[in-house]
Amino acid sequence: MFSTISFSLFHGFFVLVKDSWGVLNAPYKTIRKVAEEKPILPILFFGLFTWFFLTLAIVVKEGLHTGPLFLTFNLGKLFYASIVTYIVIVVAIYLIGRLVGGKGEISSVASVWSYSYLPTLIWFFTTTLLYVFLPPPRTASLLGQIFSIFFVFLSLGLLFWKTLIYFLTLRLVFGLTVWQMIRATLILWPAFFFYFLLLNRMGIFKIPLA
Amino acid sequence: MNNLYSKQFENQLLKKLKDKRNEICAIAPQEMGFLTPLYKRLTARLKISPWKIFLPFSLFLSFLSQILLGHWSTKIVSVLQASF
Repeated sequence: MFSTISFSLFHGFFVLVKDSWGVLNAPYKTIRKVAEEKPILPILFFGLFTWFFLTLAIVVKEGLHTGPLFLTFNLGKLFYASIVTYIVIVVAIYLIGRLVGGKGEISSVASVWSYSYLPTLIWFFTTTLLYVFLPPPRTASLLGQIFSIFFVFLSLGLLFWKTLIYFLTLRLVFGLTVWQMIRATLILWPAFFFYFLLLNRMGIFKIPLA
Repeated sequence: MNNLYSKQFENQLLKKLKDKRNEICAIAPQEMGFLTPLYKRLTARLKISPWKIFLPFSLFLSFLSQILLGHWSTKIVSVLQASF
């Protein structure tokens, strides 16, 4: 039984890596496949990666000398907020997608949206590493400006990738037309903005892990 | 025997053709009036290796932001770096 479970996990991880590469190189075909197959393992794996990142981020920010109870409390708070954010976004996309006239299942949205955490986690991991090796603030010197150009370049590239995955979610899960996607976006993005603002005001996320 | 083999082959071919037809027809094609050709050209580039468009465009925008915003760009980057 354990060999079956471990084989399934290994196989699931292999499929995750293959589909992650596909989301980068052939996003339309890969997301369409994920929307049809609705796998659960990517959701669990990305949840695990998120937990791992949050652990790293808290240790980097607070340091290892801080009390373990404080670190555990912070990690718990951030991880639960991440899970709630994921659920809120998936439910919102599903409800608005159906509202504007699409046909899709929430399981497809959940599976596809988990892959949108690829650019998110890459950005957060890179920022954490840069925080360790090149901590802020940046100056207006030549090196500071070069780094700023690089950082904006990286952030924008990942943001475009995330936006593409968002629109492919609407198109391939719900079969929406462009005008329906625009209508859904005009409802969703302001709602997400206020939700992330709320998380920021509550002191949970400065930049949303969504 | 030859008839049985060719019948099986025909059934498999028919199934593949039906699957392909269902795949093509599952989602209606986008219609945007006079913008449809432009839309099709743009999305065709985004379906395969979209990073070939994203990376140069991001680089252009990052240089543009540095030129237009000046030292504000480094301040924004400092805030983003500390906000993870």
